[in-house]
Amino acid sequence: MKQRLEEQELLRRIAELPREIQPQNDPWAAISLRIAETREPQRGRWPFEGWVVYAAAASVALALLFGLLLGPRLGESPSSLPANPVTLVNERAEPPVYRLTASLVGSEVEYRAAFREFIAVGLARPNLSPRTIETIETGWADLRAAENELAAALAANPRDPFLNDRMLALRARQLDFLQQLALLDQNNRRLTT
Amino acid sequence: MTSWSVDSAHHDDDAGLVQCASDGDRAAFEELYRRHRDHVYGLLWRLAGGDAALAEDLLQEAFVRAWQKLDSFRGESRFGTWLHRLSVNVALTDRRTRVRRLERETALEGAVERSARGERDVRAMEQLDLEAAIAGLPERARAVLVLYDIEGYSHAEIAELTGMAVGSSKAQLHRARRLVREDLEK
Repeated sequence: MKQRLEEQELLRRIAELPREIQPQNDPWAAISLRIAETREPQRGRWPFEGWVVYAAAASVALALLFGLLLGPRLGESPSSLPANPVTLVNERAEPPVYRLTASLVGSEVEYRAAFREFIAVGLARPNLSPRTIETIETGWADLRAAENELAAALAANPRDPFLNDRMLALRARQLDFLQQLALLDQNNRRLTT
Repeated sequence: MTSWSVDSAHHDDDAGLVQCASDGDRAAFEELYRRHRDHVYGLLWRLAGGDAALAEDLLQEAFVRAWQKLDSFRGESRFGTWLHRLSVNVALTDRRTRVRRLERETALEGAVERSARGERDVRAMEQLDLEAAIAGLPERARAVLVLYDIEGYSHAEIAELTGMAVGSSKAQLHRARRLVREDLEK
């Protein structure tokens, strides 16, 4: 048995404990993504934010209308899209081509528009930490991998309702991802110019 | 005065970063995070009973909440002090829900050993025993000991943060020290 520990000795040992401990895993990447999703601090709320929501809603409506009118052609003419100079994921391929059912056209139009717009702007990488960029790239790569698999399946079974439903859900996630990136990017640019 | 406000004397320029972060500058907020991360994590790690995974979750939650609440920071205290109290609130609120649900008391010692192997600065065996003894304390006693003996809070401050009476805080501290001593004397 150890010697009886006097209270003063205990307090001395407690006082020697380090106040600072480095976490094994730095959660900044997750924090960064979460604060990109959450509202800005009140004083710093971006006045453009509300406008983006309305613009996004309007673009969805326009895209749906546009898709209903021109839908059948869109799946057949993806080559009209510009080459992809994306710097974020070092990816130069366009979204895969597959035949579209009517229900998918609207989301496809919106996604491709967002994709083009985001690529044209590019991402201000120097303002993001390497961990954040890694998280973003990994997330995007996962989404693109899922997209490629679904596109291949849809090419074989273009009318399969399950596959179409999955592609719709995937497009929604990709759109959300791009919108989050765009917000993050624009905020970085705004604050560094 | 908490140990934070003493230790953070070199963080006088936090004010400028806080102002920028309040205006939406995430780079400024990241710098604040880098400055305060290890101290906040140390606190949360102990309040979480040495559970590194839980402490990392709490760290994330604390800084996300700090970002959301920056507009409520009036600059009447140091940013570190404000952040510290916010983090304690996150931990105590979370503890009340998670600990009840998971009843992880029996796993605490193992959790401390696992996490301690990975933490680079807390390596002396004596400190390891002490950390394990603190981690093994009942929740309320541990919170009071961590806040009073390690972080330098007063009983009045602890009472305010935890919702217990000042007398209860003193009693819990007495109990916590006794239990730690008994554990170390085994």
